[in-house]
Amino acid sequence: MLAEPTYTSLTQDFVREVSSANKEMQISVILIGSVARSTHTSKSDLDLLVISDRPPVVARHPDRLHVQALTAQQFAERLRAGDDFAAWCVRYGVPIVTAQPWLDIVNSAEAAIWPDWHNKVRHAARRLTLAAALLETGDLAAAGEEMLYAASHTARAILLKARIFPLSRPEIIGQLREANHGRLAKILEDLSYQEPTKGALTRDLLYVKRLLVFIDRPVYREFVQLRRQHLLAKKNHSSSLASSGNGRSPVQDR
Amino acid sequence: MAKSKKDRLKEANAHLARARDQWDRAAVDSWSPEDSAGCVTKCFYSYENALVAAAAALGTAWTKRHYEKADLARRLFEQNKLKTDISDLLVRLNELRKDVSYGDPGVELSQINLEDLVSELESFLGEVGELVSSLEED
Repeated sequence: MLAEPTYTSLTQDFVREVSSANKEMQISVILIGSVARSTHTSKSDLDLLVISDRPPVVARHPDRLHVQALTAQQFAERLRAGDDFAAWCVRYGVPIVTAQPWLDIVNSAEAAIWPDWHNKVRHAARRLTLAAALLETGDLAAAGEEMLYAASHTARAILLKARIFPLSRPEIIGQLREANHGRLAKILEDLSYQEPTKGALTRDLLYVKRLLVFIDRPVYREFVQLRRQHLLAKKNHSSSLASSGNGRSPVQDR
Repeated sequence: MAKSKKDRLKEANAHLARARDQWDRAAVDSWSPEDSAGCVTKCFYSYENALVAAAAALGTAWTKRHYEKADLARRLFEQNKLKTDISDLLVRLNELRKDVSYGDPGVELSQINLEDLVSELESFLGEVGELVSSLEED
């Protein structure tokens, strides 16, 4: 785990840099993620959100620092769209530097919008597809990371649907147990703290997929149909390229 | 205990094969209609596997942490073991991958030229492939 003084100095350095690079702007810097909740682990990065009145300049930052920079307008749009990340930042973000645009957002009607949990089902389905593809390549570490994202999105969908606001990832495990989703809690815990095995990942994939269908069959079906259409369009596109080229389809080459 | 050269090259070839498989899948994602999130994520892991292949073949220690792999990439380039410095690219791809993990792909992701990304990755895979082959011939 990064030591607390390291988190503090990383934050201070970043604030200095971003303030000096955007002198004419109204910049807010918000601490988000597990560090903001004091639930960080050895794998945790320092997550910061930058909100400004105009697009800010954000320089390259150290690798353990993850920065999301948005204008106040972009952030408000995400809140209106029911984005849970934006809603999380408003509810649990810890302001380090506060300017008027951030205060306006926090006090706006959009700040109270409950996130759309259907979005999380789409996000989870997308990560699940990636995890499955990476598992096929035999890259267990990569598949495990994507599976962790998929399981986290699924957990958030379940909790939001039950009108429980998901906290940070370590806390979500407890929230899931309280909501009687012990198996998903165990999957999240194992993926967070253990090396994944092929067998466990295969079982997790199947279970999370089943959960997604159970939570929101129409949205999951829509995702699968869209994906099929995409694959078909790719195949048609590459076939047309092949017929006008060397006669070999890239899809056939795979 | 230090691994034998034969074991190191076996490990290198396994990682390189995985990197090529991931590149292959990333290339399909780059075709129209594009899947930018899938393409960037697979390219990121493919680069990492190729880098690990190079490190394994050279007998250089590596760790599983992403940011330490970026440091390793810089070191191998500075030591003239690799011709291409992929350290900044690894950091950038990791950032993009994490942005997607929060939800929908952001603006930055939509501005990436996926064909260029896949093509540059292919060159790097070729470079690592040559390195492993040359060590096998020694």
